Amino acid sequence: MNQLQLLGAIEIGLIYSLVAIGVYITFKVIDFPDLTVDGSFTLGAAVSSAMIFTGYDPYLATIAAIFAGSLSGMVTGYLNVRWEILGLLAGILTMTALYSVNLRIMGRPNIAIIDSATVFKNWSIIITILIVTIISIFMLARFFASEFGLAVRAIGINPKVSSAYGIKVGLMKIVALSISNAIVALAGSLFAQSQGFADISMGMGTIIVGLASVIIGDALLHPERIWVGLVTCAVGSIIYRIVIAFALNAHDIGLEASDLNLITALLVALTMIASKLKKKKSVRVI
Amino acid sequence: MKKGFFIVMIITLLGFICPSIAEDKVTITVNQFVSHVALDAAYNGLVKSLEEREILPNKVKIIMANAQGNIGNSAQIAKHQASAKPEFMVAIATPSAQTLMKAKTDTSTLAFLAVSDPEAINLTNRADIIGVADNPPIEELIEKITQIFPDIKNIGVIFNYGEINSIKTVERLEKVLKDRNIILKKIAITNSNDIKNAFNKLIGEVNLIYIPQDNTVVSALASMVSMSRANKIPLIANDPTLVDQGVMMALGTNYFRSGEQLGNMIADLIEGKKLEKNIQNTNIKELKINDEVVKEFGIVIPENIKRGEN
Repeated sequence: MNQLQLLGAIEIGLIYSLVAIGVYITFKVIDFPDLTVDGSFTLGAAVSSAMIFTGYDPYLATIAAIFAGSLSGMVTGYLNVRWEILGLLAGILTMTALYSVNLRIMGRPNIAIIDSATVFKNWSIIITILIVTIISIFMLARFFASEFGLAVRAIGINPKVSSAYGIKVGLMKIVALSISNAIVALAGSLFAQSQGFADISMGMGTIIVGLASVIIGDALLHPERIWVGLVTCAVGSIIYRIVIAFALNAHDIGLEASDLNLITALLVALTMIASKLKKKKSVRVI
Repeated sequence: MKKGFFIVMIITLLGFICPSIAEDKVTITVNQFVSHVALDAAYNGLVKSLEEREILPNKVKIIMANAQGNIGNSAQIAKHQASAKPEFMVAIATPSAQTLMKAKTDTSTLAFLAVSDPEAINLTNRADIIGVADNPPIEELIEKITQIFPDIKNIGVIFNYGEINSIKTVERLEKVLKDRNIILKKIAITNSNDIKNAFNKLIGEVNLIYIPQDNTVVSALASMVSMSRANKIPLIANDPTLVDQGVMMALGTNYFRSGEQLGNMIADLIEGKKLEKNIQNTNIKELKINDEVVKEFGIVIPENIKRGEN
């Protein structure tokens, strides 16, 4: 692997670290298996690409993407809280619906914005995304340390006790889902702008990547405080990409291109095993 | 926690240490978006033509990567491959072409395959972009069909409205049929499980069904074929490879040929020849008829069409 390949891995890793943070909020903080992510990632990309394509300012387009994402999270939350649809199913329903919604937004399955101005016009992609990631982590850490944020975290630890203390569990769930999906949509928007296109199928497998990053980071760094947990997501996401970069170089030792997913899975497993060696303390895994 | 940081450091450092092996060969990287019959055929065609021109493996090295359907992987592969500054970067399927276009440096030539609408994604005539676009010869296919079935009234099509190539194809088909006063019945689906319902809706409504170059529909071809036989509704397509699987007739090129064509273009450039056109249409058309199906359905194929078959 050379330096450029490493930089490429870090760049993609940083974009997906936002996805990992989104997944962390639902899976880890409020203990809700949210599958909306596959749809909201594309939603973010679709909204911002469609707007940039029609000539809107890229910053405005990115903000619109964030709002759209948070709305999709609210829908999942509403279905789950108001109508008591199983969380997993509520996420799947929203994700499925978003496929059609995204097609409506884009008007066709693929929009190219390679010649349009994006949020990356001033600084390099990697710097911009690094700044965005740091700001997101900072803001979320502040939020989760506030009284309201603590209430959100409480429902993930013990909903019954939280409810007894007067916390509106349903509302907190919806808030967390909407924040989570807003961040994922932001990731989708930045991804589309950095790559110069949005495609209807681009959300496929996002949840798996996000979850893998969260678990890798968790296994390596065992975060206990919330801000460390958020940073861990970014670290996990970058490690995941470095692992893929290794897997991509596997042709030097005679492996086939189609082995990519297998090699990635093996390397991720090895990373996690390495962190467990000589470790007595049990680790909470999702 | 300290231990964790230690592992993180080691992994990052390892990244810098492992050097990629430099060789004195022309490097061609391939970024394939996903594995399926048609795209694999395109890749195989590319490799075969390079072997036939006797530049592989002596003068050329191919580095192949498959994103396995994940866009993040595709973007990373594009950057990863671009870092080695290869002479040619082949993209198979639209998303791969788009990630490559962003990642590639000026010294590399982007070569695309299996992209049906290059202009829509800004793959236009530039010195460092070559490719084979696959515009299916719909007019010619329908021309042949009207010779076989002179009084045909309705044709059906099943397609995924999430695939840009299908939408383009169906639009063109509709226009061609309108000129001949044939009605097109369109059924849109989103995944291959809907095929059965879609087909049922067309039974009794149409004389035959056209199959576009649609990943979703083609992946459920087996069930289409069995329903086609049960209901005596012939299937037609623009991909000759489908005929072996039970489609009655197809006219067009297949991805293997497109791959070969691109391979020859790359070989020309390596040998220092100039290309006629940087972005070419597939130039070989093939008519293929499934005799078994024709016999079973009792269809009479005019002699002049039979002779055109190769």
